[in-house]
Amino acid sequence: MTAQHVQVIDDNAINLALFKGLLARLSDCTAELFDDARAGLAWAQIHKPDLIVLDYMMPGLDGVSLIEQLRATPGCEELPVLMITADADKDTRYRALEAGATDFLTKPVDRLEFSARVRNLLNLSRARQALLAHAEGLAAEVRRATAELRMRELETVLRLSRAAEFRDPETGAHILRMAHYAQLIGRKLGLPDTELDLLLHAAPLHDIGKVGIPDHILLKPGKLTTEEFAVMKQHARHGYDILKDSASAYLRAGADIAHGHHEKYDGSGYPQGLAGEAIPLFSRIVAVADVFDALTSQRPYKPAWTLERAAEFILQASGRHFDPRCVEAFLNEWPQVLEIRAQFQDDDTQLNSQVATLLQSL
Amino acid sequence: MPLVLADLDRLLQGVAGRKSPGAAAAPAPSPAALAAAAFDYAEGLRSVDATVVSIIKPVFFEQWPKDAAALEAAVAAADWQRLTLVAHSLKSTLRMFGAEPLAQASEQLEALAGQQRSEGVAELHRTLCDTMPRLLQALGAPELAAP
Repeated sequence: MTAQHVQVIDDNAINLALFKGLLARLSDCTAELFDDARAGLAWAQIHKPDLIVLDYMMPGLDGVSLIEQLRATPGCEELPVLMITADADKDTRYRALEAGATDFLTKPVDRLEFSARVRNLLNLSRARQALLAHAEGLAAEVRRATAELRMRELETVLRLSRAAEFRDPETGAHILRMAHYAQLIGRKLGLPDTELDLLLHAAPLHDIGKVGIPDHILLKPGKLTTEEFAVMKQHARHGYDILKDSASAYLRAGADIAHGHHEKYDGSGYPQGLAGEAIPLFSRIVAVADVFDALTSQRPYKPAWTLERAAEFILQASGRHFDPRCVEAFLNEWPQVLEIRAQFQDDDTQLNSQVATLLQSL
Repeated sequence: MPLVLADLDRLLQGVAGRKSPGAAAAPAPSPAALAAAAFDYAEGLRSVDATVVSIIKPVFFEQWPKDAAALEAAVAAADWQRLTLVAHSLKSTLRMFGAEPLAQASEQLEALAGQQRSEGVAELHRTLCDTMPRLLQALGAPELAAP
């Protein structure tokens, strides 16, 4: 068992000698003596002893004021303090108790009582520290378990997104790019970090409902008929149905995004024909990110548009297809848009590496 | 523990109201002075914890001359704050030696100083200084007790 540290603060040299002598008779206990209250307080605030034996009446800083300052110091709120006072009056005791004294002794100090109180308070201090260590251990375990749960949750989200890719001609890089574009817009709009995290990880789920669309429609190289397009439009609802009511905040956010990312700001979109801010914000953000990346990506049925042309299209559709605030936020962050585009290229090898790295980092 | 003859003489003079040949008229001793003079300090020491006494005795031998000087200076300068602190410390120290009359004199001195009242301060101060040699003798430090 390691030695416990008792700090004695008393301006009277005789009392210091007495307490030092009495503490020396206790096992596993060292004494730090201070005849100056302010110096003693400063030492206690830094070293946080196991027990402070404190005189009440001292020049410069009395015992009660010292306790008040000590208790206001982070980490010193619970340090045991044994106050020694020559004043037996209740007012002094009440003031000291209110300030945070743990126990009292009245002068002249009884040797046996002093030793017993010190031993008790040191045991209390040891128990408190053990409890604190146990609580910190538990908190660390909870943090670790929570982080592991979150990691698995995000891994599930990511793998779900990848599963959808196999049914979609769009590339995996598209999913990563549009997710980062979406986060870029969200950040520019001032969303808090927790929302940005949700947005980044939920945006890739926007087309998850395509798993419910028959291959002959989903993979049709030519233009869809009106009936086929009606079926295709159901992917928004399918995605919502797959993800809604999840216990995962990521999947619930993904449900909203899947449901609303084809809505248009003027109300002409699908599946619900929502308009303006009736469309969930995440959906309005993802709409810009998704369309921009689709336009600038090559498809079997079309070449990639230039970035400038796509930007012009987005700008022209502001207020009709897209939320003007989202468009403005996106175009105002153009250098970052280019960085994201450069970072996530349509290269399967690179993409697999990026996804693996992302998974490993979770 | 025998009484110090000078103390006894001063005490008797005060009680009898007479004075030594050639000496100036002295004020009558206060109840505190009488109690301090009549007290058996060796008996007082036997009534308290010997371990505590053995720990603090050597420090007290070093400390008393400093405290006596501090008392003297504080009384002379009417430095009430200083006097309060020194008397306060002496009070608890003297109680650890079982020197109750001296402890009470210190307590009264502390109280007067706390109220910034000069009346009685000199008398109590004199009682402390005059009687302390008897405690020091009882503690086995006759060299400190010598006038």
